[in-house]
Amino acid sequence: MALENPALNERSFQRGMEEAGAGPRTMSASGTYAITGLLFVIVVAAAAFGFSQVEIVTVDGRQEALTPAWTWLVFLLTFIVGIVGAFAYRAAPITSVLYALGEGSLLGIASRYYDLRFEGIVPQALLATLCVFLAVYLLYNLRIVKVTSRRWL
Amino acid sequence: LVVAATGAFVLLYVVAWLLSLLGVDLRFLYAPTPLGIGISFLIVILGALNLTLDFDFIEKAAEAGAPRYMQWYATFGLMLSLIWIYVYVLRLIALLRSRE
Repeated sequence: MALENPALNERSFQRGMEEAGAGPRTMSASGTYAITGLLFVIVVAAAAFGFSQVEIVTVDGRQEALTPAWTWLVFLLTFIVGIVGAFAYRAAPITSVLYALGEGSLLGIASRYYDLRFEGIVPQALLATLCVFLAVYLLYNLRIVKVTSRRWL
Repeated sequence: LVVAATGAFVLLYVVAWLLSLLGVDLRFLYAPTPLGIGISFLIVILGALNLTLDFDFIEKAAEAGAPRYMQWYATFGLMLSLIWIYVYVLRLIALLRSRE
């Protein structure tokens, strides 16, 4: 699981700018959020798949979850894609989709484990995550929180 | 500061993982104690602070006329932060509920 965010830093940004070249089409914030929505759907779909692939068996009257056989392969591949994705800017349309598929299915598997022990935890966590996202988005856009620790420009 | 704090936590987990491979008991990090819950809560807050950096990146990069594919790259970063938050919210709720 990716526990860090090595992708967005000052150096990346400068390199991104240098690679910008003379392309007439440039990035927009609304386009970025549209893609975010798309990737969110991919992650959720992959997570639903991962969730469904976990087998629940009863051992000695206790329910145990069995990880699908491909979990570790996907874990490894997702890790590699994540590292590559953090450095290969131009490949981002490909790496981010691959990462969303891989990480999504892993999240689904992990969620199934949590759900087995704590029923209904997944919707709670999803809702909480969404609330955090919206709250931070509002705080940022209303300029209540100012990002002053780093200046790119 | 947020970047440094994030790095510190990642380092903490890597060290904790390595120590656990050596058989050192570090379960206090994940235990449903006030300390464990406090740490999990801090990590969620840290994830939220990372989100502000992502929003800032998106805004600045768009203003500066970054190339089109940087949209995907910025989304990738945003996705990482969101997944971070989800994972630790899961853990936090699990800790809170196992206290009941």
